[in-house]
Amino acid sequence: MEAYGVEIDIKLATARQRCQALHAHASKLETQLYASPGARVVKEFVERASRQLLEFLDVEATNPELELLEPREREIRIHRTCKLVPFLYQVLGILGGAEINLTPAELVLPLRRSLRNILPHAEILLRSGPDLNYSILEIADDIRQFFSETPLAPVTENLPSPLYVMSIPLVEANEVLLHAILAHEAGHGIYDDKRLADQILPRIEVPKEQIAQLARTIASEQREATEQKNKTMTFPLQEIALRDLLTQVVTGTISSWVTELTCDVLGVMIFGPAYFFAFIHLFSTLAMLDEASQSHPPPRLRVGLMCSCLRHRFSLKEVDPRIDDLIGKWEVVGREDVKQGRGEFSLALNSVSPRILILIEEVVAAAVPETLAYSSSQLVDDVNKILPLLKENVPAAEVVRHSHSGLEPPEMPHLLNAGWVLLLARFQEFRENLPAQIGTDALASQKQLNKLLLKSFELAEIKRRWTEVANQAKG
Amino acid sequence: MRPGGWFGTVSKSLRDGFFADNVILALARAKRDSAVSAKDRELFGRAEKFLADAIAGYQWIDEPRFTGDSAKHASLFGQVVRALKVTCAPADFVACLKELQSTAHDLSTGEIPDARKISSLREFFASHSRAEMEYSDQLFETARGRGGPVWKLMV
Repeated sequence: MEAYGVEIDIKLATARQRCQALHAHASKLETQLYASPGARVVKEFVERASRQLLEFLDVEATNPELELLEPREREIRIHRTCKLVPFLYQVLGILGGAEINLTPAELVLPLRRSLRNILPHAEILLRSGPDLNYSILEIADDIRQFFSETPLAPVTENLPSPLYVMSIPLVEANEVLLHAILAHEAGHGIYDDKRLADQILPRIEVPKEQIAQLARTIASEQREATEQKNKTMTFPLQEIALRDLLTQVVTGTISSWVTELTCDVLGVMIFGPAYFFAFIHLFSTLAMLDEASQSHPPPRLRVGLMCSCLRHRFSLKEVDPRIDDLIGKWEVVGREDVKQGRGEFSLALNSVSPRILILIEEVVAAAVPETLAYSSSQLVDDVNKILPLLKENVPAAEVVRHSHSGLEPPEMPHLLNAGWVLLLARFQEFRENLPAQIGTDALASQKQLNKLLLKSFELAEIKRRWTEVANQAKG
Repeated sequence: MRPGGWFGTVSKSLRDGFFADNVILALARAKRDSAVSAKDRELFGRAEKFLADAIAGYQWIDEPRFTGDSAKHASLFGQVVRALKVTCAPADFVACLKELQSTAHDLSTGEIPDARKISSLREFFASHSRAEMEYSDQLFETARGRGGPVWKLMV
């Protein structure tokens, strides 16, 4: 065809081939089994998008308006269009690790149900990955954003909003107690959905003098670097570049820290102490208490804030004096000053003042309705009713609640909190009820507790679904 | 505990690049036709907003107050710095952006500015388009995002 030269024609032709291969591969995944409903959404989206992209590549190949562009402008435009193909590869790649044998299928539906209590249209895709980390990404907005400037934008119309991809560590996929960390990740959804940043960020006072100090420090480091490199760069650092750097550092760090801190409080609010316990167990392995990054505040600050929130919301003595004592020890850790040497982080620390931390708690309390928040009385009830079942090594598929005459299947936060209290305060009693070969081994006993919780999730979900279907049948 | 945000970063970079490409094509059409279609007016309106937000990002440090848009404006300012490969003094930088903004504004109202102004705007968006292409290519190579520290300070 040689409309624009051989290099552009071949670029479009090979992009077409890659796209056809992608479409064929996505179609083949029809026979693959996934635990999450979100997997089908992703697969069907890639099939749809790759089919339409094929048509779009044909249109671009003969678009007469592109003659108006300079050769370099045209090449970049076509090159970027071809980038849609590797992008779709990445989208399809999300399904890796989501196969039914690689994820705790029992967890998917209760997790989705918990999330939908808060965000009714949310869809999830649970996958396991090789990293010792938990993450959640809302991908529907990103995909929409990506396609929004192309003629393919309508292809994103059927995507659910939000669509969360949750990643858990493959090696510990069945360690459900640690999965309480997902409460923080669900918090990101609430933070975005309810635009909590708009209520918190404008109240932050950025110390101007400290910004000036930071600017001097950066300039001084730049000078040293320049001298060492034998003046290969100009000095002083151009003001524009310095402004750019400072603005990105200050706005980026403070915005990200506020986001993470707010999501911690949201995690405590919707999942109770279970989130805090999962946090400290995970972070003890992964992070140093005073170590911060541009995206995350130091864990010490987070621990202090979460302990404060736990004290405000829960009557921990009533739950178990050992739990109260444990939180007390972490409170001491959280109260100590963060030892932070880096300029931009100490600036962020000063900006996220005690006043802002109180504001974060208030904003979260107002954003989460009491019906969705995990309460102190629920915690006490769970410890009194669910924990005894688990302690006897019995799956807690249903419990008697004060307000209901019948038996009620417990929801995810209830099971996780009872599980954590059992592990941290009454584990010895649980171990004594297990067969000796398991009960004498702490790790095997913990594994058994996680298995028991998974079974409880599964049975509770079956019971809940059964009731829903029965109610629907009754009309 | 979000990862680098690779997915969001690459989406944004490619979207911004597509936007720049569309502005370039619209400028080429305006030059050919000596007129601006209704669809292209809307596009130039968004180009004007892009430049206004970047100026807001530049000015943030003078009166550092947070809004939900602060980080977005800062990011746009960074993109403009990359596109312009700045060597000029701050006053010239702002004047240059304001002139580009004014050209985009004229086009958004259907007015055709002189050829030099159109050419400057096209040059800017061509540079922005290239910068975003280089950036998204890097992202595809590293499969990571713009999550790492921008500047490491040890004080």
